[in-house]
Amino acid sequence: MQTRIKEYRARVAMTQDDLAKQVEVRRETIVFLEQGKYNPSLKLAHAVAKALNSSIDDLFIFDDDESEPESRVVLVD
Amino acid sequence: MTLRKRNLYRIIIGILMITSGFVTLVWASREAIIGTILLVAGLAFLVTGFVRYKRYGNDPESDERSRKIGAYGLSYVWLTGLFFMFGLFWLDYLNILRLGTQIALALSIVVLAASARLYQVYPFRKGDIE
Repeated sequence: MQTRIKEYRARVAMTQDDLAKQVEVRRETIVFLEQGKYNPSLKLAHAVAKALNSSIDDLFIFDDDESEPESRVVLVD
Repeated sequence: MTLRKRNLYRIIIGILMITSGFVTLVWASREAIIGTILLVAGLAFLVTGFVRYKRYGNDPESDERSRKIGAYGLSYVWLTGLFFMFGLFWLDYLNILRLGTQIALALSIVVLAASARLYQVYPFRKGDIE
């Protein structure tokens, strides 16, 4: 799993410490999240996405998402 | 950096236990064990309160990651304890190693406490349990 938390955090000029305080976790948890080493709960993922004015889909990239981009189905009315 | 309520309570309990430990030792010298236990436990509360205050300050002491690692760690500790006691039982049953109750219990306490620490160090450094 990879994340774009660092990138989105930079966009809103927020430090790891600020984000940790906002989502009520330790700073190390944010560090491991950014490194893709920690799989957060849906609740934490939602809180982080909300804090960064983003969505869970934008922030978290799973390996199978990367390898098969063509296989995504887009529904059009 | 303000003192969180939890750490304040730890410090207060520590001071109370140390004081009552001293009182017990001075006034009821025959109850030396109780006095000593109160002193040691009080000291542990006091030190924990100060260390956690210094280390975390206003930040949360635990979050979902630390709780997850802690829960997994404890389940591994339980398994380790089970295997250890199973081993002790068979060693005793087969007359390979005969330990008294006190030593067997003391060893179990050491194994459980040491493994509790060990099983948490690695996942904390790695980031997650998986």
